[in-house]
Amino acid sequence: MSLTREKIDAASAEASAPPASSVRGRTDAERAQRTRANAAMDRYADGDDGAFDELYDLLVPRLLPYAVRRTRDVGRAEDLVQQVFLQMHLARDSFRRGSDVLSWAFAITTRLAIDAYRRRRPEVLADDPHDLAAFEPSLELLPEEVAATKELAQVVERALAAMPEGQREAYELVREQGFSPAEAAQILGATQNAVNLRVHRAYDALRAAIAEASSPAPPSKGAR
Amino acid sequence: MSAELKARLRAQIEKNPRPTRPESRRRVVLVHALAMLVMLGIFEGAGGAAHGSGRPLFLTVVVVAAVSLVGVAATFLSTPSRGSMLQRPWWVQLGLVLLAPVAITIAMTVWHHFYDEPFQRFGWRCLGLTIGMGLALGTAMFVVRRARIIHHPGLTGGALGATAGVWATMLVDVWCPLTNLPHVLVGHATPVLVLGVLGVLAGTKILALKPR
Repeated sequence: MSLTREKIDAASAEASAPPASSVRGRTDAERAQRTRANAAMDRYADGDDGAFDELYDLLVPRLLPYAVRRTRDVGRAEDLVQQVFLQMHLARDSFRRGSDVLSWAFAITTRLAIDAYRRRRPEVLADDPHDLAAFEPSLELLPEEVAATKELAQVVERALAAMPEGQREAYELVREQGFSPAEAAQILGATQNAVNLRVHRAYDALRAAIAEASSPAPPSKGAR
Repeated sequence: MSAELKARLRAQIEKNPRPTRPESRRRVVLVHALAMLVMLGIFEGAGGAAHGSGRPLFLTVVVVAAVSLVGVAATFLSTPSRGSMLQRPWWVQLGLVLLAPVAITIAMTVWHHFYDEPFQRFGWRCLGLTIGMGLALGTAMFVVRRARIIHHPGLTGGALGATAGVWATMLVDVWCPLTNLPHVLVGHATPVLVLGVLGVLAGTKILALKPR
């Protein structure tokens, strides 16, 4: 099935658009969630072990899909999240009151994922696509739309996999996780300009990949 | 899946108990107090404040205050910004390693023409004292941050080393009455740079986050 022109245009526009949360500012719900997570981490640092469950429940829905995207494997992503929480536990006494726990958790995830990636390059495609499907947004679409969306998702997926690690990380943090470029810069340990540049290049790469996928295949030599 | 992960984590956390923040605060204070005791021991062992009495007291206070300002700025830049657990950008930390010796040189030499120096020395003893004291303070700083720095642990180590060097210089300035440029470069600026470089080397090994 080929991609429809409307779908390509929509995807191209979406890839180029700045993330919604950057445009409108964070939603109240998201802000409240971050505040709750910070408060939970504060209580956990002060010795309230019960706060760990709340912290876990608030962070895992954000961290696990990100870890899946970084590792391309659900099992490894769970191990990674486990490592992140363990690191947070080991450093809980150093948590500074009022600090942003989400940025901290994402920074640890990114660091550990990079270390793991350097030890063993991950497969480009998932071992079991059914496992990964659980982390993709569910859409109620017609069968042909589902097929076209899947095809588009594969194009985007391949383009993301082909990007340099730094570009992909910056794109995912800003575009998919809703962090501001300044926050993403802190998480990645880079300058804000570098993050902006990486995100911009990632947009360009995605646009090019989508455009290439939509262009008709060149006729074969024997064809008349 | 999520419940299973949580149970796994709980088990792992129970196997690795960690002190709480209030418990750890006492340890941090103790480690730094110990470092300061070592610094004061070195200071007194070298002759104490009496060694610097050849310089007018007012100027000693002014030089120490100027170097303290550099110390406050270095401490501020080598710790994460408010509301964050993450270190400052790499270029800030690199700037601190490179510019702290320059700032020390300026903070000390501007007072050189306000008094006659009581004697002349090349600066080897100041260099040794500053490195010795800085190592004590730097070790304390490293101990409390061991295996916790997520990005650029080497540069973070360098920034901490330079900061420790600046505070050691402040104490050595009470002891040393000289502020001429060659002496300051050898005895006071060089050790800050040396401690910064040692911090970079040690930071990569000691401060970096380690997978468990």
